[in-house]
Amino acid sequence: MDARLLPTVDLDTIFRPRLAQLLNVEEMTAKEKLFTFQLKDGTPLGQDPGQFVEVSVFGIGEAPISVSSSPTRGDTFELCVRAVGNVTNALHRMAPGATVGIRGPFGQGFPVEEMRGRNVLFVAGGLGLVPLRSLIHAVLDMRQDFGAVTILYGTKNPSELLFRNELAQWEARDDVDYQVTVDVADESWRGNVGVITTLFRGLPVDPRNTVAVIVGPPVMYRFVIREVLGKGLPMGRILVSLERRMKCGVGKCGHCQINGVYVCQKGPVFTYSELRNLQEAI
Amino acid sequence: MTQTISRASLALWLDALTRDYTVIAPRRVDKLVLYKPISSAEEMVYDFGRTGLSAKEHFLPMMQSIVNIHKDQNGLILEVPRLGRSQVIFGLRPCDARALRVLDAVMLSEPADAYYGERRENTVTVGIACKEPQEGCFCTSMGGAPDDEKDLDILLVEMNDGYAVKAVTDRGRALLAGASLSEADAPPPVSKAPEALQLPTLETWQGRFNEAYWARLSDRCLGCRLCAYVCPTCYCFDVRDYAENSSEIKRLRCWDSCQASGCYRLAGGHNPRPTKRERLRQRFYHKLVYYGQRFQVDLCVGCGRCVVQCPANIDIREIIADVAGQ
Repeated sequence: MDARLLPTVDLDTIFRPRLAQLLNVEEMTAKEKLFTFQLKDGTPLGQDPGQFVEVSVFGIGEAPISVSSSPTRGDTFELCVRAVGNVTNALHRMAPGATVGIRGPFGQGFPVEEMRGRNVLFVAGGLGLVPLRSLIHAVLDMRQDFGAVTILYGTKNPSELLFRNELAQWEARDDVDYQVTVDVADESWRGNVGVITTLFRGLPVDPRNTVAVIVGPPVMYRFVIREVLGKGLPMGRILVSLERRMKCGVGKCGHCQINGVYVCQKGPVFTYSELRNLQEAI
Repeated sequence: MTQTISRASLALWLDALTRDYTVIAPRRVDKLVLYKPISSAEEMVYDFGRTGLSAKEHFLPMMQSIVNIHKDQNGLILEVPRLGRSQVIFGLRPCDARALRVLDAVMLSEPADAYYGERRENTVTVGIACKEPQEGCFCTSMGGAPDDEKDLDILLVEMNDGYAVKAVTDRGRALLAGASLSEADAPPPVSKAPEALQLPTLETWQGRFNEAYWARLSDRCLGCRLCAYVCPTCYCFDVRDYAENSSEIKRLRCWDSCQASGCYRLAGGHNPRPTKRERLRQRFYHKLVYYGQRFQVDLCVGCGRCVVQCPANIDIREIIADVAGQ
C-alpha cells in the first residue's frame, strides 16, 4: 500500500451553482420585484412548494430565497425578492438576460400529499405570501383534490400588497374564501383594518379536517398559532415555515441551527408539534 | 518489544517525506508554535506542550476558495479548486486527532462536504502522545486520552533519545516503510492524564436553558470570537464573494463564530439570537448538547485552548461544573 492516495472525491458537488438566466422582472411594490428564471441546462428546477434556493450574484455573493412558483406551472421558476441586503439589492439592479447561479432546491417543503382531501387555511403575513404562493398555486391547480380553501392575508399597509392581479382572481373565485387586512389603511383602502388575527373572529374552521399553513414574520407566529389552536386544530396540522440565515443550504455552515435541527435540511417547513418544545424556534 | 525511532532517524524520515508530501508539523511562527508546512525537519519544534491553534486549518482552512469564477464576454466558467498534494500532519496531539473524527460527523454526513473530504482522504496523521496535561486540559472528560491512538495513523510516545512507534492503520504502516526503526525491551512511559470532570445530564442541561446564569456569564464575554478560532472542532463558516478584478472572482469560505453579533441576523433585520446571552449559551449547548443529540459525539475534545486563551477567563470546565452542580 502507498500512503499517498490519489484524490478520488468528486468535488463537483454541493457548492457549485447551476447557471440560470433571468427572463423577466416585474415590479411588485416599491421594495419587492418578481424575477422569472430558467436554468440554462433547460431542466425544470424541480422544487416542491415551500422549498428554497441559494441564489448567486457572482462577485456579490449568495443568499437563500424561497421559491414563489409552483412546480405545476412550467419549467421556469419565480423568486419574489425584497431588496434588503447585498445580494438582493444586486438582483434588483439586474435586467432580463442576466445570469445568476442557483443551488438547490433545498429543504423540506409543504407536505402536499398529506394535505390532499383536507380543508386548507392559508395565513400569510407580509412577505410570508412569497413562499406560501407556491403552495396556493399547487392547491388551486389541483383544486378538486382539496376541501374548503381559505386565504387570509395581512400587510402593514395597502402599498405592501404583493401579487395584486392574483389577489383579485382569488377574491373573484367562488371556491376560495379570500380575506385581506392591513394594519394601517390609506385613503384608497375600503377593506379590513387591523392585524391579521382580527380576521379569525367568526371564521368558520372545521377542526376535524383542516390544515393551517402559516407563513409570516416571527412576531406573527405566536399570535396566529394561538388563534388556530383556539379553533381546535391539533398541533400536527399547523404548518409554519421558518426564516433563518441559511448560508450553505446543506447542513454545514451552522447559521440556521435551532438546537440540533438544521432549518435548511429539516425545514424550513415544520409542524407546530415539531417546534413547540424547540427552544428559540418561535 | 517496542518499536522505536531515534531523533536522528526521525529527522531523516521527515526530510524524506517532504519529497512526496506537504509535511505539516509544529513550527515556530513569531512567538507561537503552530502546525505549518515545513521544508526540513530542522524547522520542527519537538518540545511543545500545546500549539496555539489546532491543525483544523489544514482540513477547514481559515479562508478557502470553494468556487473560482471566471467571467468574460463568452460567459461564465465555474471552477472547483483542488488540493495539490497529499499531506502528512506530524506531531498531532490525540485530542486534535479526535477533533477530526468529531468534525467528520457533520462534514461527511450527506451531502458530504467534498473539500473537507478530499483533505481527510489525503492526509496521514502522525501523533505524539502528551506526557502530562497542560493548563486547561480535560481530554479525559470528553472521551479522549493523552495517549489515545484510535484517531491517528501512527502514534509516537517520547522515550529516552527518541520515540516508541506504533503504526495504527495500514496507511500508517505504509508511511513508515522508509523509516529506520529499532526495537527496545522497555515499554513506553505511561502518560499522566487530567482528572475527568463530571458532565451534566441532558435533563440538567435542558432544565438550565432559561436561567439567569447565561446572562451573567455573557456580561464577561467580549464577543472576540477567539474561542471559535482556536477550537479544533468549531466548524461554522461564512461564505463571501471576493472579486479580484471584474473577471476573476473567488467564492471564499471563512471561519465564522457564533459570538459574532451578526452570525444569525437575517437580511431583514430579525435576529433569532440577538444578544451575547443567547449567543454564548448557543456555543455551549451546541458543543455539549445539540451536537451529541445529532451525531452521538460532543463537539469538544477537551484540548483546553479556549480555557487558556479566552481574554475574559470564560472557562468551559467551570461551566460544565456550574451546570452539573447544586
